[in-house]
Amino acid sequence: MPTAPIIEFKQVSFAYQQLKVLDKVDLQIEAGEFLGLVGPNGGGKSTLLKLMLGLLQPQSGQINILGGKPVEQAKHLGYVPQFASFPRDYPIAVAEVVLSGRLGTHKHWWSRYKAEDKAIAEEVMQQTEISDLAGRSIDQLSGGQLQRVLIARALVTQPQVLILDEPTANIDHRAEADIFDLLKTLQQQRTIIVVSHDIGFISQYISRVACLNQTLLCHDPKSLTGGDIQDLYHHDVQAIPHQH
Amino acid sequence: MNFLQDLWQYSFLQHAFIGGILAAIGCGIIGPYVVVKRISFMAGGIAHSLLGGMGISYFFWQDPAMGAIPTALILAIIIGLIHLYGRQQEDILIAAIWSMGMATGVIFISQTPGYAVDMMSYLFGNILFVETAQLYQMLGLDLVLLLVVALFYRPLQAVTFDPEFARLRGVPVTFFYLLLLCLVALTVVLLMPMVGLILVIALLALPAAIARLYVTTLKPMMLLATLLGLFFSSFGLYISHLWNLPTGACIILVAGLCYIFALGGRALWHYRI
Repeated sequence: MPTAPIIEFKQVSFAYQQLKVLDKVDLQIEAGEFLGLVGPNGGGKSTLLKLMLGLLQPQSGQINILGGKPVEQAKHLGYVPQFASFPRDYPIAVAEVVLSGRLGTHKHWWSRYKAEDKAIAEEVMQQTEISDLAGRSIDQLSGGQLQRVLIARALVTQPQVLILDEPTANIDHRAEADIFDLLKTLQQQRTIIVVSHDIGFISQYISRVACLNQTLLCHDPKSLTGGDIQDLYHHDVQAIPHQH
Repeated sequence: MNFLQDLWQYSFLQHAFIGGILAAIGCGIIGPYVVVKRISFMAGGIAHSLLGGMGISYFFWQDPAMGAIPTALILAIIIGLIHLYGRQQEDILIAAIWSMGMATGVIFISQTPGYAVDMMSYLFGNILFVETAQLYQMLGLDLVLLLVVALFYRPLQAVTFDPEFARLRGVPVTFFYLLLLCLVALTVVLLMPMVGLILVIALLALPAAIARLYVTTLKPMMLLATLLGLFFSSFGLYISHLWNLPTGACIILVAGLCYIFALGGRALWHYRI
């Protein structure tokens, strides 16, 4: 049964001053999808995410998120940023980072965290296997552990959609596989969008891949060929054929 | 010990000692934010340009201290807006405000009729001449800082840690950022009698920076920075009394040397392992 897409881009274009980043992008994401958004650096991946989250406004075209405008709907999107977006030496404990995801649910900015907030945070920390790290500060974590903390912070907002920007850029391959296994279990209840420049690895997890380099093309990951990838990156890339 | 006897005996030393406690609370609560958010340059801009407001207030009302709090708050908001919206020229703009503020202060003070105010005391502190009323003002500022930070600890932490995520959760990031700079401005006014405008950044940043070397979360950092601030101000007072030296400068040198030793000690510790 066809349902309305939960995220829809119609002919969306965006440019930073003279530099065109997105050109008439059409994208529809259905509930329950695990979408991989891939493309070269500077191809517009982060810009597309920022448009989705309402942090940027498109110059032309329409964006519809869960039946509303991005700015209004951002609270239903769980965002997992890149490591570079915050200082990694900030003196903050894991539990504090996770709980901070509950801030937007309070009526007053001076409210303390309620028992409900703590219960949700605890449940999410168990799910992401970081309960034993609760009291540690983030500068004592490995890349994989920190990534789980950021995922947990996004999950406590109880989002319908989870959006991850380069979740495996700073971690080793073993931790990378663990993160994607975690995402696979999370996908049972929600839609997941993963941005990655590492195209080969994620294709065995995702249900659809969107290739972005100013323009956007969608593929079934099983049919993605070396030719498609070459078109996307405009030069030869190392592609290893693999079984699913 | 001679110092303790004198402290018992002379009310000016008692005032200075109490001033040290009150200053330590302020630099302990707000200093950690200045250090983790790396805004000591902005704090310096607020502190130094504050002389302009004090000069104007001295010229019109013969009372330099009167203009301190409103001027500090206005400067905090101007410098905060420069940071938020003037990114490309940020450092030059803040440097310009920094020195223009001081220049304004110098001009107004020079044009004030009557005897020339002792500018040195505003620039370098005058804790040995602090009056009871000033101590009450410091206490009031401490209470404001404690209250605001206790109420808004969580959003302030979220905004200083990851502003983009905080904004997506609906936290009014710009408001809390400007609020933080206003708190820094009030702390500058609070610390001014202790060490003066010129030296304020050191007392704001050094105790927190040392604390950061030993603790890993914000609340213990505030506690340790307060204790360190207390040690620096009382030990600086002791040295200044012992050798008859300017108090503010002694406090800052004690704090600075401790920071260098703490950094060096940590480097040696890591080298050993």
